[in-house]
Amino acid sequence: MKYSEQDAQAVEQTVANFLARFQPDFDYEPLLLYAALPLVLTAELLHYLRHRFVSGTPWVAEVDILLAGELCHERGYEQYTMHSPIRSYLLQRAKQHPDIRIEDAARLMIQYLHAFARSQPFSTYTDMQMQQWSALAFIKDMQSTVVNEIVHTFDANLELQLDKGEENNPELKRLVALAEQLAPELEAIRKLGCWR
Amino acid sequence: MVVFQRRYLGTGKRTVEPVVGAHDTPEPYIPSDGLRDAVNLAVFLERPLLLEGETGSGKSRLAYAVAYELGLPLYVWSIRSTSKARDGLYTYDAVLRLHDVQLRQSKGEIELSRDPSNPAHYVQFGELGEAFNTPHQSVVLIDEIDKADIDFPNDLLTVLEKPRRFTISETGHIIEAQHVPIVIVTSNKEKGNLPKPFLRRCVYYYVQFPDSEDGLKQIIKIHHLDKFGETPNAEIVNKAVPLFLNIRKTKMQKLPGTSELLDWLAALHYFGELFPANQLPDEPSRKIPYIELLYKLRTDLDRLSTGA
Amino acid sequence: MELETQIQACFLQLRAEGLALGIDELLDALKLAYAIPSDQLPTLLGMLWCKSLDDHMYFKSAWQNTETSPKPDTEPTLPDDLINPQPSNESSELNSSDMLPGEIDKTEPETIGALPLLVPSRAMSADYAEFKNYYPVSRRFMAYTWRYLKREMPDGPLKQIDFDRTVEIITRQGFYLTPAYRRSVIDHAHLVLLLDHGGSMTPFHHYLRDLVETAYFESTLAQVDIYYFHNVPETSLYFDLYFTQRVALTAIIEDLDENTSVLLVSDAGAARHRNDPIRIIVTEDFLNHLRRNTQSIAWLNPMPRDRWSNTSAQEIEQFVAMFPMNEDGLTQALDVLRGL
Repeated sequence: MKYSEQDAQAVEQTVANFLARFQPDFDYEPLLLYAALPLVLTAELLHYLRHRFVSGTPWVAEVDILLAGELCHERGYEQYTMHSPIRSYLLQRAKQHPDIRIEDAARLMIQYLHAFARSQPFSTYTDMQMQQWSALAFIKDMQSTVVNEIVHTFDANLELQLDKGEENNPELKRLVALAEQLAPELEAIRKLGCWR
Repeated sequence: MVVFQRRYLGTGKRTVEPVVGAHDTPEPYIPSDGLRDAVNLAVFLERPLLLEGETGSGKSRLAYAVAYELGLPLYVWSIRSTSKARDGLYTYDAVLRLHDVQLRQSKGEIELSRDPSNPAHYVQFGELGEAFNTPHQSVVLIDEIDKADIDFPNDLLTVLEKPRRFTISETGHIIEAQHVPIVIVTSNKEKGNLPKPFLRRCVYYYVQFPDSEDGLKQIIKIHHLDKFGETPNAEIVNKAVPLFLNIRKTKMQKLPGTSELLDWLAALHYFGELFPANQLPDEPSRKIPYIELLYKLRTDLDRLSTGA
Repeated sequence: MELETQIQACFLQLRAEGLALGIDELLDALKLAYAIPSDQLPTLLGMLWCKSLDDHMYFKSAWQNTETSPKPDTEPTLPDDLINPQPSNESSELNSSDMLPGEIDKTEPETIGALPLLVPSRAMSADYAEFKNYYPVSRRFMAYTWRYLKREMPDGPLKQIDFDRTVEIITRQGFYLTPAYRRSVIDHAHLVLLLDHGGSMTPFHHYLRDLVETAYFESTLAQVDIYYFHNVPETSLYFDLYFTQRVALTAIIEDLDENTSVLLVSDAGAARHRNDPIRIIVTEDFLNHLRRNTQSIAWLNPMPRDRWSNTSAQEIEQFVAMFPMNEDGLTQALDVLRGL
């Protein structure tokens, strides 16, 4: 999704304003960048990310980030998501930042998914599948696999839609949305965008 | 591997001469190589072996298997929330003693198997105490230690390391272990971590729940043969196991474990006619026969779709 | 001997990382080194020294770091096969929890095909319960601290035999008829937890769960009651987190007496940096209601103290003892409840 110049500036400003609240005592930026990686953020996952990668940042930063309405919103019980434009912006910055270990964070996210699959309030199996794909997309070796899986799932759903003549298959919509989100990581997926 | 004294091979077969009082029931439990090595390591270092893992992953069965294979006695101490460390060593029945005294007083000199003037007659040894008194090595299973309160594991520490001895305060007797018992401790880790000093003392192994088709089929084969004397029906197993694994992937408060799986398979085989394998659904739904054997909690059952 | 040096160096490094290892663990490690082939040592050493996944990770990197023959410097990332699915060639029912794939020569980790999403991979076996948390108050601390609230008094039924007295009587009168009894000690402690749930408290839910579970199951206090509210406690609260089972404030108050300790847990507006006069007034009102029946009231605020200023919390602190939710704060709050 292309954002206008104005939008991009607004996003940058929002993030800068947020970070400024805690400066000069604390630099929340690294943690904020890690927080942008998961599709769905829980307090626990953010806690593990902070502890593993930026333990110098005070724990109250986790709360500050999750409760910042300009950055995140609660999308389910105990689940938060970052606003899309903010997330895209932060992901870009994360890639450029020399200290952010994206692949390691992705691995942690997957471990977390697996470890808490049963007790987490993820609503569906597909939900979890999306989370795992989005995490795997950060790992270079896994990217082609993720693309293949998404395309495969997409095709299957498309067939279903054509067979049953269903309009607006929600699965398809979600796959397209996910594909769009992952597009920066997965070049090959761009072709799916035309199925909107 | 190394030559340890009376090494546990994990084959399920007894190849040594059993001692008096040995646990004689064969146990169809085959540990992984890592678990087997952990047992031998714990025995070699004379430390307790702590097994953590999901309920139903077979942690408790290991002790039975070790006792059988090595031909040793087995003492099982099942821990409850009210368990106290001292109970595993001994209990002293003071009330009984006073009662006997009173009996003597009122009925005169009568024959009692217990002599009230001798406090030793009112001492009953707990599982660890028994193990200490046994004239050969034995296996002690301390099951579900996480059920007790937080001080419990640390209270036990004093007898799980040198010198392995305790005093019966009512009689003054000192009981010292004649042989170092093989202590296997299990924990479901329901209430957070066990205390550090206790963890430090133990050799630690995490028992994975066998969430693989091959793993489960193996368990089923062994158990079914052992319990019913015949191999399980291949068609049923081939459909039941993937279904079971799919059930375990869903969100449940109480996931079915190996014992639930085995009970369910037994029902499919023997409760009335052999259940036709092709009628088993692929995905979890209410059409599953004998569903209560897998869905033990009402909330989990309610969450299940009707499987149209 | 090289191996000995490595073991010692590794031991020291792990202790520096915070693993609970003592001299016995070092001596046993050396004993082991002499008893088994060196290629098996890392695995077994792991079983002796490591009691969690984090421990294993530290161990792996410490063992590599202390290798006497230098290895190519690998970045301390998580082992590759942490995201592998179950390998296909498995015949034994339980796979060994292979914590050190780099050390033990097994087959190459397979490339991930169709990811079996929820089937745990081999090396993930120990992960389930291994994610520790490092919140300012550990669960263990909570479980211990609740006990300070016990109010034990010997006014239970006469059912415990008092041996000393019995022996004394026998000695004095020369015969024994019945044992002397003493009253069992009964704990009269009554803890009431009033918890703010949802909204700005959502990031703290894990904390609340720990508090609730330790108070309910591990405190051994006689009576523990837990009620939930959203943002501000008012005329009714709820038995459950989802605010469906209402309970009237009057009912709760009736239940309070001089043995009751009331602990409120809420950020009081500090999490979102809000100052709301109405919230303050309603809260004060609420507290006055409680004070009719008990003076033992304290407030735990999960936000650190330096974040209370210019928020409702700062005002509310004027009329109730409020403490941040860290170890000191919890201890002090309980001291207040004990009347100290």
